[in-house]
Amino acid sequence: MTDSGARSGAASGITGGGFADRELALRARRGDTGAFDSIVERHHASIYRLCRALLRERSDAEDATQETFVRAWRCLGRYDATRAFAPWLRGIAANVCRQAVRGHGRREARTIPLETQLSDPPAPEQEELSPVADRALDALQSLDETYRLPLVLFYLREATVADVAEALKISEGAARVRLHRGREMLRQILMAEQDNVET
Amino acid sequence: MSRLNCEDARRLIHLDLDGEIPPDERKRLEEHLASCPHCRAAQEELSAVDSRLRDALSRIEPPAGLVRRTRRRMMAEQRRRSLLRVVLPAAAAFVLVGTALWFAFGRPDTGRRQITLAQHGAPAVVLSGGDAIHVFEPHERVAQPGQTGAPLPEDSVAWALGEDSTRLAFAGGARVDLSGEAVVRIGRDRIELFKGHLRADTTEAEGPFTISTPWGDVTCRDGIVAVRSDGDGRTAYAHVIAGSAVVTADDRQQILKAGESRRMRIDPDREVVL
Ligand SMILES: [Zn+2]
Repeated sequence: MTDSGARSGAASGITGGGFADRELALRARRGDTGAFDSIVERHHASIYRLCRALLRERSDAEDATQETFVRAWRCLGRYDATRAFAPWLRGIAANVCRQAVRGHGRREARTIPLETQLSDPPAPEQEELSPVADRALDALQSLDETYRLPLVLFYLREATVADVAEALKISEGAARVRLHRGREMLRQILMAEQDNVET
Repeated sequence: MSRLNCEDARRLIHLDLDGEIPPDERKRLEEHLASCPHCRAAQEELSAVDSRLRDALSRIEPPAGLVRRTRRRMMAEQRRRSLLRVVLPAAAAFVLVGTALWFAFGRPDTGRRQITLAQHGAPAVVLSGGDAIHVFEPHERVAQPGQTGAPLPEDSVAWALGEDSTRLAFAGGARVDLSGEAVVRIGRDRIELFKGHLRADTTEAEGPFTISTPWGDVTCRDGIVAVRSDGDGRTAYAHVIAGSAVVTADDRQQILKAGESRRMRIDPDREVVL
């Protein structure tokens, strides 16, 4: 599973991989669905990771991932091709997840003896997170969205502070402050946990 | 070079983790850390947070088939971009609380696909081939995604989308495959078809199963029957594949045997405007 989308080089903020993404995005915008397929292929893993870290539930993460690509396809006209593609796409994913979190709790399927068998149910996932990783993600959940989003965006492979700022449409300074504060909050949470385990 | 205070050191620790610390600042930070156990501890803990997050995120693997399912959903989504308006008549046969339902898709400002019910009615469900189920709670105007494979509420209105047919398994044993973007309302031992096609297999059903439509009613017991509506909604065809079925249409009742078909014309009292 490659995760090498448009990625900002730490120094320049512009990448090698970015060109290919932009090219694909421009082609997709002209109606080339094959080009968009390549985008999905290339970015689905990182988008899923992002959604899973933000929403925790696998089914929610899958739904949000799909929704992200549907929306990206629909909004391609608004993508500014002078900028990197991955942060734009991740920004959409972040929004999808934000809204998913807000809409949560109202969705309770009721039970009456009638069942559906859909043609292609999602395959059960193999991946098991380690308890340590699980706790880290749980700790993330307890943070306010203001800090959770930048942290998750940053800790996706190879993302930079500039990418986080771009995805969230905030200044780099603001992104940096949120990252620093978020890290400090997590440190408190995780260290407190560790103390509890030790004592 | 001036000495750092702890506050500045803390900022530099974070900049380091951000991958943005300038080389000369790093030197100053290292000097500070060598002499300040407090900041050293902070650095160790923050580095631990850093690697735990990185590690946790990198462990998440997408489920198999995600790309395929995403593609499929995109295809389905493209086809339903247009607004579908379903106007149901106030005929007593259709015990809908409201007379009009409309589903609006593709609102760009919403996080999930939203389907809006113009008037409050019974819960409705939108099924899309393998993707998701959307459930209208009573008196909710916006459908929320439900769980795939979870039991559907009786009295649901379903809209089967997606590439493949969608199968409904009824508690009584009947199995119904929906296709052609079928819009149906689900009952216990009956289904109402407003649009599209369905195929009902009642060979395992406990009792008779009725397909009620604006064109006529088809009741089948221990058989397989298909109902297809044509594009303009004026006509539909009932076709018996196995066993037999009773077709009531145009004020006429008839028993069809396997291999036989019957054309049914729209009943103005039950007309569904799409
Ligand atoms: Zn210090």
